[in-house]
Amino acid sequence: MKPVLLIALLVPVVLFGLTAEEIVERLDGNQTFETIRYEAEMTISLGGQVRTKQFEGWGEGEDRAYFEFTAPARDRNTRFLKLGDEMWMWLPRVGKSTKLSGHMLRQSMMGSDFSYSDASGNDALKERYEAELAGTDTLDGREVFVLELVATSEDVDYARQKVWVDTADFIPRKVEYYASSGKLLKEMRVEGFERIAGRNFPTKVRMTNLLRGNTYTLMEFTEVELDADVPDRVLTRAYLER
Amino acid sequence: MGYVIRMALRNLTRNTRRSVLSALAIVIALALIVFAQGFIRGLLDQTTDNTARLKTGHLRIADEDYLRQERIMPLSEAVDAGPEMDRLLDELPGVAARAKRIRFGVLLNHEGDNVPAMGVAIEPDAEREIFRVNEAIVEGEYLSGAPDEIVMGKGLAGKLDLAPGDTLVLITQTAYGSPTGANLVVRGLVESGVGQVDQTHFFLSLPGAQDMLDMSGMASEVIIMLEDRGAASALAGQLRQALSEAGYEGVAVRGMKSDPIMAFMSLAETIYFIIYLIILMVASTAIINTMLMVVFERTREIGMMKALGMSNRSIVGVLVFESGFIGLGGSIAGVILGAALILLLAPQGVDFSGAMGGEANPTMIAGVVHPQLTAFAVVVSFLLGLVLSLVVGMMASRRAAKLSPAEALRTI
Repeated sequence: MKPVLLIALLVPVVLFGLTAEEIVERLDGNQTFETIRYEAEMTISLGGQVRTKQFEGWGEGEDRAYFEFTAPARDRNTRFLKLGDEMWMWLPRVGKSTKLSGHMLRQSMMGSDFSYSDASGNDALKERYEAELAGTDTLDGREVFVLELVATSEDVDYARQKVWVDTADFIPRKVEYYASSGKLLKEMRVEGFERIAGRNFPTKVRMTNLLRGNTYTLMEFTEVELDADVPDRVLTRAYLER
Repeated sequence: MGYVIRMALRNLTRNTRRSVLSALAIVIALALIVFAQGFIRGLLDQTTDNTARLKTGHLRIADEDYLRQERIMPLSEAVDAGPEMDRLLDELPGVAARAKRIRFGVLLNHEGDNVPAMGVAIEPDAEREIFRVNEAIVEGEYLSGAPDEIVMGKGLAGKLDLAPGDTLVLITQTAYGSPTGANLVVRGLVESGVGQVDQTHFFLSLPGAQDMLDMSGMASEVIIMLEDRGAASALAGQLRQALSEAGYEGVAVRGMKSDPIMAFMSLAETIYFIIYLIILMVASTAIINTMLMVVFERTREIGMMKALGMSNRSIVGVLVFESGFIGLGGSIAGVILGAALILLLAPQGVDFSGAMGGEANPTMIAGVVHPQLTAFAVVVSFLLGLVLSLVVGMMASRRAAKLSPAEALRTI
């Protein structure tokens, strides 16, 4: 191998001194949380029609999350509770909770480009994916690491991800989600973040479900509190069905 | 000519048993054909009728994108079926009945069991003329129009262990993808004889469903039944123009012909006709056999008649008439037998729903077929039987015509 090429290959490592695992760890550090309380707004654009939905929720670790929609009137009080692998839904029209399972969790949440599990997940990437640093690049004028993530088990929604991680703030500027067949399913862009509780937390995320065509969903967190106190009663079926 | 016919009639009785047996072959074949025609006619007519009433109407108005993706029933691709649509359809001539429908996939939940099902939101009164769910209620009652009640296929109810009066939970999505649902009461159970309907469908009233699905004033499709099905394409053109003048965009008017099952049915009719011909040919070999034996048996007699001056034409005539009488008798008896069988079975029908595979039957083919007697089928079958026996008679008598009198007299 020619010395020049060797040097070129070593540049990222030498320059930033980071391995793929370390980048993933920084990424997880920004994106995941112990507990969270938030208010958010989803702008769903599908086939030229744009609708806005608001929701708020709490989360604790990987396994417990609660969120409910507050607007528009049609969706108000539609509630979701995640307990481990189970997801429960409570609809005001029904007045009982229903368990969502399997493929239903991968379906569009409230007509958006996010699935229920996209929206409720807080799993660290390092637990579920093997990372490889494919190199560095520039994306929208910013220096990024390009990471290739391959799932280590079949128990994930996306078999492969390609992540463009900002070298400065470790924000995933762009993520491509692939099926095991290699088909590109979704594309996510982080369009804004805030410095909250020592993390660079993405607060403005645009998701495009490429299987739907002419669509995107912009999720904006209007209020985020990390390491928040989550009342015990919230993450229970009783609260869901209150 | 008269003596030729008299001789033919007299010859028939020379070996009565043989004549009767060959006529019997024709009787059985024709009875089979007449009955099969009636059965197939009934099956095809019922299937066409089911397809029109349950699925396509004689005409159907729907969004073009909906029709393109009909398999997944996208609620977002609905047509505005408000007062403007009603006004347009009121002005369309030759409409016997019409109704708006929304079809949607749901999950039905009862005591922890989830079963996927197909919801059909209907206008309960208008559908008395079209889908006729009201006629298929076997337990409980038909929809009253209240928003929280359903009638469901008996097979579907069985999967969830539901009976009239029970409540269940429906979970689905609105036209905009939000989860929605309802608590519903089972008002009645449906057994229509169409496997798909009985195993997977439930019905609820349209206004309640429009509210639940966030589709106020909208429908997936408008089904139109015409007084005369033959006028469909002319009226479709008229309707398309009216819709486009009223400002409807991307809305299609479809006739029945575009449904794949209709193409299949015209093919089926051709295939069945070929099968009838084959049955008849097999039966006619019995007459051929008889007539060939007649010619062999009577070779000396034929020689004698030739020597006495009987013309070849008359000799052939005697044999053709003999064969023709067998055919005539057989055809009359066969047609009567076949027709009687149809008339006997028509009222209650022939139930082969078990053989149709129940739930697996993805078609609109009826499980109980009511055979149909048509004058056309009777006349055509009768003529086929008669003509074929005459043709066969001619073929057999050619040998007799060729015989020289001297040679014929010498045969033992």
